[in-house]
Amino acid sequence: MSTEETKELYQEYRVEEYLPTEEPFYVAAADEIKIFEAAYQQRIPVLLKGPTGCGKTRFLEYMAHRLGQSLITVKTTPKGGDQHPLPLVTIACHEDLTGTDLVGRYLLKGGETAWIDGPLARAAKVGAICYLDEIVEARKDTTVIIHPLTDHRRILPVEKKGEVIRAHDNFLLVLSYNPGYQSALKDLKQSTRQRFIAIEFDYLPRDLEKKVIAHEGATSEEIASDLAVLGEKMRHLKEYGLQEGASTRLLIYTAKLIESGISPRRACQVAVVWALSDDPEVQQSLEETVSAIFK
Amino acid sequence: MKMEFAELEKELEHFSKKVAEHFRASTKLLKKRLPPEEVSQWAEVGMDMARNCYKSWDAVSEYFKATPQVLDHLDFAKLISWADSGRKLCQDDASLATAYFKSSPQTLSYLPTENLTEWAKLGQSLYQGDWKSTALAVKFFSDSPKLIRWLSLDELKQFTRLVNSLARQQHYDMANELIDSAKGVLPGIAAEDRKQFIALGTAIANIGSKDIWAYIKCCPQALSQVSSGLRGRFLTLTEQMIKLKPEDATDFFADGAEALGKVKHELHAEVLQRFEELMKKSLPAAIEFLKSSPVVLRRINSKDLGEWFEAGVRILGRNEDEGIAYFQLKSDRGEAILDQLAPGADLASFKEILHRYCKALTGKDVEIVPEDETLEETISWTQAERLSPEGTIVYLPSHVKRYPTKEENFAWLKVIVTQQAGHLEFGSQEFTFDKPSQFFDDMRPHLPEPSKEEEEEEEEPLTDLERFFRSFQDIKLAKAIFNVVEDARIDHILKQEYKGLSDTYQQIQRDELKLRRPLHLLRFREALVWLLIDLTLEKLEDILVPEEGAPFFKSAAPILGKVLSTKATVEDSAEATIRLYSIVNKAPNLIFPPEAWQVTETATGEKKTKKTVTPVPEPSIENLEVKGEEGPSEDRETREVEITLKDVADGKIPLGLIYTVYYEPEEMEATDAEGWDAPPTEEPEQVYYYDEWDYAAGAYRPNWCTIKERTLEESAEDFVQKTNKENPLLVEQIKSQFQVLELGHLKKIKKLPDGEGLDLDDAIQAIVDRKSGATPDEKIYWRKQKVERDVCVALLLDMSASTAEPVDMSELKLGAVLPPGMMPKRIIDVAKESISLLIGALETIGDKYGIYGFSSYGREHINFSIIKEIDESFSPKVGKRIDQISPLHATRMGPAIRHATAKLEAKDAKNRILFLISDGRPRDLEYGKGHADKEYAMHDTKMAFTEAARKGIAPFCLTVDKEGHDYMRDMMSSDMGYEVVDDIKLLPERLPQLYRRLSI
Repeated sequence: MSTEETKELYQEYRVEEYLPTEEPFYVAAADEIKIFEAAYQQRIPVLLKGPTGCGKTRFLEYMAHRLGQSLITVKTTPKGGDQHPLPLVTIACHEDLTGTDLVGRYLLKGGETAWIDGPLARAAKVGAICYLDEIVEARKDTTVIIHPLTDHRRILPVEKKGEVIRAHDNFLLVLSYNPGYQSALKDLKQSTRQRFIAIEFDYLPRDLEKKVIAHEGATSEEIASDLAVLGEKMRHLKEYGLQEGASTRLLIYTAKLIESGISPRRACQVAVVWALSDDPEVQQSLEETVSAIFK
Repeated sequence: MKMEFAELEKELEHFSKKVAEHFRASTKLLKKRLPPEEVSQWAEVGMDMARNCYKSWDAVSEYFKATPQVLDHLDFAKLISWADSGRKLCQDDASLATAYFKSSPQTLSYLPTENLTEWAKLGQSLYQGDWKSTALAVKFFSDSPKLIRWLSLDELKQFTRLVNSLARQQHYDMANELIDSAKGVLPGIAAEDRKQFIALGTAIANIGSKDIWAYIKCCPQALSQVSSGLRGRFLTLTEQMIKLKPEDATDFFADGAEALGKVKHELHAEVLQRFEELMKKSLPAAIEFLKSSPVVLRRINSKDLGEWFEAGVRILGRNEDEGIAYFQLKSDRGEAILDQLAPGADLASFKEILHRYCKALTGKDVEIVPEDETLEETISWTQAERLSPEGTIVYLPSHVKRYPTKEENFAWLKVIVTQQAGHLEFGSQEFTFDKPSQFFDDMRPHLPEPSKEEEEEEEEPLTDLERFFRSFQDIKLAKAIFNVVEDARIDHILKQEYKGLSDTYQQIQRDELKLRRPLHLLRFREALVWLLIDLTLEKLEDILVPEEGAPFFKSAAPILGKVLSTKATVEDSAEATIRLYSIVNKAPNLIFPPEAWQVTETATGEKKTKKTVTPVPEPSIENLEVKGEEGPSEDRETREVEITLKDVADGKIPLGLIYTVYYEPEEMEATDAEGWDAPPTEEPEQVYYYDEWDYAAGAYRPNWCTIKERTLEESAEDFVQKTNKENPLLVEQIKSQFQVLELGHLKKIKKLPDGEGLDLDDAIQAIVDRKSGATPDEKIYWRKQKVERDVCVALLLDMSASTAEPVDMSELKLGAVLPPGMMPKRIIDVAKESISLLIGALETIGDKYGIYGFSSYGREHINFSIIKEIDESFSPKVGKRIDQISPLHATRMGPAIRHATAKLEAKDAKNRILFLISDGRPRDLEYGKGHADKEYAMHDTKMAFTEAARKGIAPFCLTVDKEGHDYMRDMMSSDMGYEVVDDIKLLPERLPQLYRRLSI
């Protein structure tokens, strides 16, 4: 990988870039908002568990915005202007994510070397919520790096520079993971787990999910309601031919397709049935369910 | 003259009073019809018999007795000739004459008089002088009326000849049976076919006595299965079969007839015609066709039979074996064609889809099971109780052919499943007695409890629903009403919830209701319950109801209407049941004639008067409080009868509603299936079925081979231990070889951003880049990563009889196995030793391994012995099992390979190896055509290996057959490994080496 590419990679993680200015749409399933607020007040790291596409990331966006708003009222913005009081730094974890990727590294610039902070270091410095998405995907040695940030020390050692970054007061670490599909090998280490409180997410009950689909998919109550029913049915099939049930995200996509003039059955076929399974028999079971619900 | 007769009578009295009596009676009659001289001539014949024949008085008595009736058919000359024939018989044996005379009057109603003598002679021909033949002849005469009624003289002669030929071979029992059989068969076949029946019998008799027995036995039953006009044709075919393939003829006769019996009669002609057509091409195929025809015709429409048949003929033209398999319904291609033609939906092919569909709808694991006869019929448009009481099983017909297309038939299945699943999804089984309903004033709390005495007797507490039902006097009626109401509620919700299905749903409901018994045949109360279903489908005005019953029906409508809401619960159904029960129970329980059934309301609707408002005509009910309630139903004029609790308390209600009757629950026993799962006392022998590759047909023969798997028993001696003790050197050698493997090898991974050390090449390159002004790559580190062994191997040992051959002792070489004593060592012993040594090696490196052996005796008996399962850990048990390995039977490799493949497939490992150790080529009974079709066996084995390879399993075959090279090349594809060990004694050494090479 050349340096230019590396640069681009970093640009994607620029903390200043992510500014949720409008309040993200979020429908609470239970008291998760209250809990998260309390955790943030105490700066307790949070682990979000739940199946794919059930709204974990959306929840965090919403919380970042909400907490940011409250920060504005409490403190004045240091510089004023566009700077968001509580940025959200999202890091998608993958197998090759190393500690260096998170903390920072020396880059060669001509004959000189220059230190570039990793996203975790930046989040800690500016006082953002740092969101490590799908944390179990990252290598185990990588996850250990976050440990000092998650206890009373709230520091990030930068080994290569021989420095330590003290986290900003507003900084909070949030992890997400989906306990379902990862294999036992990829479970979180206890030493990591026990540094977080956990909020469990699941797909919303039919009535609430209907609201979400109607809002996000900009579709009618009726279609949203049918899609919510379909989602519920598909989720029954988890472990019965499907690894995961249909996510709210997929249902929203379906709603959008229907709104664009695709017939409901066809939209369900491409957005739900074919997205969920490759097995023709399973597909037929799904399609029978679709055709029962949609005309 | 008179004197003369008196004397004769006196003389006869000496013999027997009965004779004299018959004589007197007949004489009296005859005198009126014959001149006196003729009468005396007639009498003389009788006297002659009585005087000259031994023990003849019974015969004489019958003679006298029969004469008046016989005389109706015969003139005097013939009468005398008839009597003479009898006299001759009497000289042979009196019992013959007795039977002859006795059956004469009846026989003569069918027999032309001129044939009378012939008939007597035929009977006589059966008589051989001993008691057996006498009995047979007597039987012939006695049964003659029943035979002669159907047979001409010629036919009778033929038949008698057949009987006689059996008798001559001393098969008297068969001969007797044949006569009985003929009596049964003859009335059922056309005149022109009778000759055929006899001719066939004769033909069969010629091929062997055993067959005629089967023929005689099954004939009446068999022929009754065949359409009456075609019985002769069927007999002719059988006769042709005898000529072509005598040994199968009687089987054909019985099986063919049975098969036809399962086909609609109007199709028999077509089936037989096609059979004849096919017979010319291939007899076995034709027979298979006949046998399969009922199955085929059940699946496809008769109009498509031709197409299916022609396809088969085409395949037959190309390859006979494949054609036979086609008509046997054992070829994939045939199955595909059949499936394509079949309009019906086979449950088997949709079972999984429906199972998942059901799971999707309900979230519950509901099994889909083919229904059997035990399904309880209920009042429901689905006709039967299809959901098991626990709600875990839905019973469906194994084949649905209600509609002309497959799609429609599947839709039927889907609707039925949806309906049953609906009960689970919308809480039919979650009835709680005390939970309030949504739309009714609850009456349930005021229903009396079942008495305590009863409850004490109950071992299990009642379900809430059971408790509810027991509050009714007529529990059956209450259940029926509840089911209908609950069905209606569920149907309504489903049609709302599953809009995509609602039209089909409604249509199928209507179609199903058309199949029920006409309501006018039912008693009105039952009919009324049925009518409730109609209410959910049709407008009230369109439903036919007898005038007398209309008020009940109309008062029921609004109650049912309340339940038809998506918000209604099962408790509402229960409340509705209480109210409907009282209405139904008051309705007249009569059968109304069909003409009484009419539309409830005239179109004007003006007649909706008090007459209908007063719903229950019984006087005692007039005291009831009648609340005007408007149900959601269309008919707003109709008012509901609401029985208040006050009425109950006041004893005003003679409804039979509130009674507690001791009641033995019927369903309880059925669910109590204890002892069902009791483990069988014997070690369970697992049976598996595998397809076999027919290279000639180019298709698999489905489920052709039966693998019988069992764990080998343990002997006293641990063979592994023994081998290790005997070969210490070799053991040590093998161990050291494998220890190298055990360390695993480390793989150096380069170009890492950090790691154990700098990679010199990359580092230099980076420096060069920097000096030259280019951006250097910073990934210059390397790291060593351990690559873990992940090997799983199945060792498959050929245990066929050929492995019992001794290994030549004279050629023993150094370094090979040390001979353990004086016993000549057999191939199997060497193989066992090799495996024992290999176990040591495998244990050292920790690979997962299973050891299996196989031998076979035809496709039905393939023994698959487990010596060590892959997951089982090594123990002395394994050694003891190895000791038990002994040669047996033949080598059907294909299925054994497939089974071992299946075992490996279930294991998760990076490298999976199937290691076959054999001593020769595959060979088994009927492994292909005949016993020695080498090609077939080889192709099947090759295909089995290929299948394994496709599944990501590496097959390897090791053979100790010196000629192995000849066929191994063909049997294994080029990318598969094999090794021929020419010197069997080297095997213990070679095997571990080979394995080592293979698994790296």
